Amino acid sequence: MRTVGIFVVLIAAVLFAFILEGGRLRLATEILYLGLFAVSFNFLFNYMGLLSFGHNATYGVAAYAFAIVAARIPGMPVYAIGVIAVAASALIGFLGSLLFVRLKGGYFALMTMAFCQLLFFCALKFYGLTRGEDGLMVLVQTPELPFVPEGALSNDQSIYLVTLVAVIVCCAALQWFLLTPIGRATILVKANEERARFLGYNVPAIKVVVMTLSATVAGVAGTLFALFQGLVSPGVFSFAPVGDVIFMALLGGTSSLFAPFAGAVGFILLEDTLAGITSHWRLIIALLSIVLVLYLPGGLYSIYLWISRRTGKPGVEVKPLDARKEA
Amino acid sequence: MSGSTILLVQSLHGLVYGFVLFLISSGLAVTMGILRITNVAHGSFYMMGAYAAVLMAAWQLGFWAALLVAPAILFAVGGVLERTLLSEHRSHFHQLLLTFCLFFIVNELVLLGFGAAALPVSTPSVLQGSIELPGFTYPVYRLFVLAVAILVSALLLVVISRTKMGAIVRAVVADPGMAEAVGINTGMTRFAAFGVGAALAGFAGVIASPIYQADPTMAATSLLNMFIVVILGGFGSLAGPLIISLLLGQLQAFGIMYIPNYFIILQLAVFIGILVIRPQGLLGEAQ
Repeated sequence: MRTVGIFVVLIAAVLFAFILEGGRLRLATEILYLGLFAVSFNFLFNYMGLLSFGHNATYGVAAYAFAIVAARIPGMPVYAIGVIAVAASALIGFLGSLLFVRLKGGYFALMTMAFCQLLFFCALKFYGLTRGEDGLMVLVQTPELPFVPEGALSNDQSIYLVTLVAVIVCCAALQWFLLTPIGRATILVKANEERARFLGYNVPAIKVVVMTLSATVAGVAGTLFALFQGLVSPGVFSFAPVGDVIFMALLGGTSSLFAPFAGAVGFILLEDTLAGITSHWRLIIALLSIVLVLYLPGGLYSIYLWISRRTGKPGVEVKPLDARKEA
Repeated sequence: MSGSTILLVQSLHGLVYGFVLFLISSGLAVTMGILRITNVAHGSFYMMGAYAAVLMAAWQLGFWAALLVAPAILFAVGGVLERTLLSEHRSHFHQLLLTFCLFFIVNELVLLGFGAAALPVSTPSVLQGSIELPGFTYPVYRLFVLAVAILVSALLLVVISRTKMGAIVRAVVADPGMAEAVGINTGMTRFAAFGVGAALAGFAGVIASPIYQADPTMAATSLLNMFIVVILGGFGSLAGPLIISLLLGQLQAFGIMYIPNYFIILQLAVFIGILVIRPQGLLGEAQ
């Protein structure tokens, strides 16, 4: 049943490239990479108990790396640039995780925030590399897909399909990771760090692996963002993207790895509607976030769980954090 | 002006900024000590103070009214927020997320109400002009801010370390469970501490606004500075944050003079570096 469901979703996602037109297809692309970004946030939050207020750090690093390499090395294939950008984010994520591996709770949230602000000011001040506030244009050729004749797909369709493939690969990788021994150990560390240490697990090493993985997936999302938007500015390191990503994770539900995709759908639809009414739509997003935390902490996923319990088909649930222990 | 007087003026600027920073951070130090939460919205209280000064000036009520009204309102706002959103019954993560949302809400409200440009606040007429000091002149208002900030800081230090009220606060910081057991109303203490913290930030916002203007990014920019102060200085005590504030004030004043572009990057890098080596802060005790 589950496998059938996944197949239906995947086929529908591919078909969207041919059903949806122009603006809507672009919204679908945004949903995909923002959803992936939110999943990477939730991966760290739900499976490691780490709340990152600077989760856009590697997202932005990848986006900037993508734009800088594209500008500096003309003629480089777009996929190679993408790989370099993701590698850059993985490296920064790894270094960051080495720095922050001992921190938890509020300290971790704060230090990631400070780290991201550091990158914000670097992007602003190292004008030669980043062009400061003006931002960088991303000058790359639209990626071509294998087995597809040239010119058969529009730009938007190609970018959508490339995004879709990258998102599927990342999600599969995260799901697979959780089934490996180190993935199981991750869940143990979150549930009871002391016992994990007592049983002989190398807790800091596990944390470094999980943080780096989460940062790298955020980097993939950032690369896709740069490819899609065509412009990268210091705003990627501001508080707004991380506020958005937290909203998506909360709306979708943090107790399931992939529920943030539902949050991304909700976020994009809200943004699309609200931005036409007011330029201060983030106010409504922030108010809604408060409502979610107070009255629906499990997000949309908890509604799904409630319905499936009523109909006698229980869904899969990873127990939400007993967060008070973290204090 | 000779070289050494420039240094002296710069150092005085740093001293004023250091004390203002201490006023803002002292509230955060107490609330972080008591509530054990990282209040990301504390910078927003400071910003609300500055915009209260703008609003009062626009309503022709004047600066002094703002200096009285803003802290009173922020005391109520802070206390009520604590009891409703941030009480001890909520999980740590929820408190963090809620303060983060509050930060966004205040930011957007300020942008909505006042626009994105920084707004000047005029110095109250009594304190305009400069005073002649040996070798240089210095704005009267900055000296006034310095005097008031020193006074309030001294008062705060005395209250926290010498009075029964301070002893209660310190007891709740040290061991909330034990404090409750000996009959201290911890809920009330949390309410009052959070309210006073917000009021102090608002007070600092009003009094600093003629110098630093009211600016919609000030919540974000002040936030990191006050966290640097509180985390490096350690919470619970106020001597630590005071030392760090004054140090940061001097570093800021001279850093902006010598490396204007890269000072903030250096400052954040040093902050992260120190905390990586000493997670308990410079003056905090190891857990």
